[in-house]
Parts: sequence; structure tokens; C-alpha cells
Amino acid sequence: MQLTNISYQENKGLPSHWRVERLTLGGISLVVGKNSSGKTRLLNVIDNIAKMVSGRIFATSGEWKANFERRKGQALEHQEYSLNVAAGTRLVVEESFEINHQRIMHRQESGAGFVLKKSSKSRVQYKVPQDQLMAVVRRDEIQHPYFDHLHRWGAGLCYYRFGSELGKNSFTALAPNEPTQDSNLLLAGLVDNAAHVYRKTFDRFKDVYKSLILDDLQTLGFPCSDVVLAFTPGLIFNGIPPMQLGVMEKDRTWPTYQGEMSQGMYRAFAICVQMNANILWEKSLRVGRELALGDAPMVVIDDIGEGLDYTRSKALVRCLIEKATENNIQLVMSSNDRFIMNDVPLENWVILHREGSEVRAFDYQNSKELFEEFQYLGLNNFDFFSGELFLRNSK
Amino acid sequence: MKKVAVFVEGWTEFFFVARLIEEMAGFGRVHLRMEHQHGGTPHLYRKVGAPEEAAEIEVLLMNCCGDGKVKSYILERRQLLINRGYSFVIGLQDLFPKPLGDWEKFEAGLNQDLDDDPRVKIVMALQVMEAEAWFLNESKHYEKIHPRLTIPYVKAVAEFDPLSDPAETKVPHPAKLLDRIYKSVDLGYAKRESEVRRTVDALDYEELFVTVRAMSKSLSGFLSQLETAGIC
Repeated sequence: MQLTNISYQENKGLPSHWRVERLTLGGISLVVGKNSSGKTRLLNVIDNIAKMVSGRIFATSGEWKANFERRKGQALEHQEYSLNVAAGTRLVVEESFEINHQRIMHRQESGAGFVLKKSSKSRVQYKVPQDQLMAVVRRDEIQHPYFDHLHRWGAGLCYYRFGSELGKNSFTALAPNEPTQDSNLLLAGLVDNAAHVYRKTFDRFKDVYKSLILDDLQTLGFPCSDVVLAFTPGLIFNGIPPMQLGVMEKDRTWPTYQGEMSQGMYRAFAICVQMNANILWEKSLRVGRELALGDAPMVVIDDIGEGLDYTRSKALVRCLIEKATENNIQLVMSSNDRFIMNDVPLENWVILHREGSEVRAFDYQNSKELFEEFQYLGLNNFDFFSGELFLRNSK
Repeated sequence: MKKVAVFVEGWTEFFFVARLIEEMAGFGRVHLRMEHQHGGTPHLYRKVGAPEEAAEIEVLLMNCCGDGKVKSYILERRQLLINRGYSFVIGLQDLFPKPLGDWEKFEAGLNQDLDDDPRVKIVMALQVMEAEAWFLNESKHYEKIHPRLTIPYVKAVAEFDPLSDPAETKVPHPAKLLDRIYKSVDLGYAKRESEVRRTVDALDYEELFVTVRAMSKSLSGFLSQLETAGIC
């Protein structure tokens, strides 16, 4: 399932009110904007709704409306989920869910509401605790399977904060009685542990996985001949020695372990570990057919390229877009790096512009004429943003 | 001394325009400073022509190396160019990958928002498809590349008549056609520096200024701008 639109607001009527108007996301989206325009906040909003509908976190205050598209054979199914949680509380004011404009679920502030029954299409009345989501507590594969795709989308979404440590100080450990091979790996909970993702994925896919990572590192200008997992000397947790990741760089005879890598190199390496794992695990679940859009977990990356030099940041973005396109992964990245912005086509841009507490989004769908006219000015994409040419009609 | 700057997109135009300027200006008049940029920083490639102190015109030829658009590169450096005394700046931009039908619209767009400082005149020239479109119509260079490349032979191999078919409007991928022609005599044209230089050195510039110019609206426009800048 693919997230196509999202709108959000919080603290309505209060001085701390903040709102992002309905914006459109495609298969590949680059969210750009000045500092404090709301890029990271938008990605957090997406991450939060994903975690809430999959029951990974409690309800947090805010008002979301999210639209999704799901390919169902040749047809396209539209889903809309809305959630309003009272400011400063965990109490749900309203929640609703529609599929192809048919109301599947609605609940009110009291917690009372209904969910459509799959077999008879009748409305089953429920009353759920005020701080819990109906979409989570009344998910039932037999009676109410409608929420399954929403839940799977939320449970799978992988949110990487590229400007953070990205798990540079996280290790993996072989626990007693651990199965030698997993049948699936939920990467959403492992976004800050590339070492664990690598160990589990390598156990399952062996050199196929390693080759993909090494090819990507080569493309990014980090030529390496091997990826290694090694015990971390001097560390023991509960009697288990932790393991760390490393690479054998081509001009060295000793591995460079994750703790020794530059932050930029580690981040690029970790994203390669994660992205390739995402693709391989998803393909293994769908043997015999190509991945369709929305099959694989949605990937969200904040501040992509941060800490990398301009050549490598461009190469990384190109590599991610290529992989996402090839494997039908919905990829949303944010950046205000001019080299990345110049390299990513305007068709994939979402420009955020904040005036006070209101964030407006400009994209190819809602500002088509401006986006198209700009392409005839012979300027870099970055100029569209820096010269605020997207605001021409507004001004 | 008059100072002119010419900004091009890639290496083919870089070598071609360097030679073109030398041919247009004539011996001893121009000091040509060739630079290329990498990661936003210009690097000196070579200085050629008359010594700086003896030249009538100094031309800065900058290869933007495809890293962004020529127009943006110029505008970002407008103040620097003014400070260094450049009074005329020409940008040569490729139409590709836009279709031929977008020629006029793109040309008009390119020349928008350029003139807001009287100290420097900035103009943009549009190169339709690739510089190789101009090379294809220069009929005298083929036999210098290889004696077997006579015009009847080229016509037979390429289904293209250098003397009458305007390449800029008739050939979708000029470099590919040039490659096909050269490959027929076991040479080739993959835009490597040595291959570009071989063609640029073989071109007959008189023929370009007169015959090809009459066939190619884009070459004529670019040459007119060089002439306006005083390079002739």
C-alpha cells in the first residue's frame, strides 16, 4: 500500500498551532525546504501515524488524514484514515476509515463506534478505551480484515534519520537458542541497528546480499572487497560477546569496523545494509512475482546525504532512487543539499514553505504550470527553491 | 583589454569553442584562459593564444562539466565576473533532452532574467541537440578523418547528406551518427577527448562560418553572439 496524501495539524486554536496542508507523495519524493520549514516534522508525522496504526506506540495528540492507494489486481483501491487526538492528551476525539469512499469504521470521543463486518457488511458496534485506536484494537483477520493493509503499512515503515548515528554504536549478539535462519525480518524496529540487520539477512541470503552491498559501496566511491562481522574485543553483555560490522577497504589489509568509519561512510554503508535487506526479505516473501508498489516497506530518510561529500551524496541518492524504482518501494527523502536537489527531477519534489504556523506544500500536482515553466528557464533545480520561484503565483 | 567569458556544458563544446575562438579572432589577438569546474570550484585547464599583456581580448572559456545548468553557473558568478572586468558573457546551452519542438520556448526562457546589470551583458545561445550536429554538416572534414570518407560514401553509409540535410533538425542523435560514420572506416566517436580533438582539428572553419552557418540557425546564433562580443 502506498501513502499518496497526508495532512496534519496539532494544537488547533492554541498559540502552538501547527499545520501542514494536504500534500501529495509519489513513488519517489524529495521533500525540500529551508531550515525549520517543517521537513523533519513532516517525516515525524508520517512515522507517528505509521507507528500508531500498527500499535507500536500509544496515541499522540494531533489530527491526521492519510490517503493510500493499493493495487488490487488491475484495480486501484483508495483508503482514507483520519485520526484526531485531543491536544496534550492521549484521548481520541474522532477516528474514521474509508475504502473507496465507503465508511468502514467510525468512532467518537466516547470510544463508541462501529466497524463494518466483512461477511454481512453489517455495522458491528463497539466501545473501545478512549486512549486506544479502533483500527488497532478491533483489527481481526476474520471479522474485520479491512485494517490489515493499513496495519502492514504502519508496521513496515522504515524511518532513517540520516543525520543521526544510524546505529553506529549498536551491536548484534547471537542469543542462545536463536534460530539459525529467520523466515522474515521486520526492519522497521531495526533502523538503528545495521549490524543486526546484516547478521540476520546474511544468515538467510549469504553472498547474494553481500554482493549487493559491495556493489553499492563501489558505486558510492567506497571500494571494498568484503563485509565482515567480528566480535567486539573487551565487551560482554550478559555473557554474550557483541558483534560489530566492518568492511575490508580495497587499499587496506585490515577491516575498518563501524566504530572506526567516518560518520559519512558509516551512514552510507548502513543505508546500503538496510535498503538491500528490505528488498531481499520482501522478495523472499513474494517468490515468483515482481514486487508491486507498496509490497515492500515504505522507506523514509530524513536529511539524506548529510555528512557525505557532494559526489557521494549524489551517488547515494541516485542509487536509492534506482533501487526504489526497480523494486517498487515508496521512497520519501528530505534534504536541502543543493547538489541533491539539482540531481533529483522536479517531478519528484515536494517543497515546504512555512508562514507562521502554516506549512504549504508545492508539488508537480498542485503547481504544475509553475514547475513546467521553470524547466524552460535553463536554471538549476536548486534555483527554483532558492529563488522562491514556486511562490510566483502566490506573490 | 576587453574581457569576454564563454560558458559551455561539456568537454566537446570546450575543445570546439576554444578552437573556434582562435580561428575567429585570428593569430595574436586573443588570450584564452580555459577552465573547468569540479564541485563548484574552477580549475585552470590551460592558457593558450597571445600572452595576456599583448592580447586585445581576454576570453575565459569555462567548462561547467555538466554539473548543473550553464545559466545558473553564470548567474551565481555574475558579481565575480563583473569584479574581474568581464563585460560580455555568453552561455552555450544544449537543447537536449528537450525535444526539437521546444526550441523557441526554451530559447526565450533561457534569455529571461539575465539583464539587470549594465556593467555586464549576459546572453544565452542554444545549441540544438549537440555540437556534433554542426560537425556533421561540415563536409570537408570527413576525408581528413579518413580518405575513404568521401561525401558519396558518407551519404550511403549514414543516409544523411552533409551538404543539404540540416543535422540540427534532421538527426536526433548527432554524436551517434558521427560514430556510425567513423566506425564504417574502423574509427569511432565515443566523445573521448582524443576523438573530439581529432574532429575539432579536422574541421574546416571557413566552411563552418559560411556554409554550415547558413544551414544551422543555432550555429548562426552562437557565431553572431561571439561577433557581438568582439571576437572576430
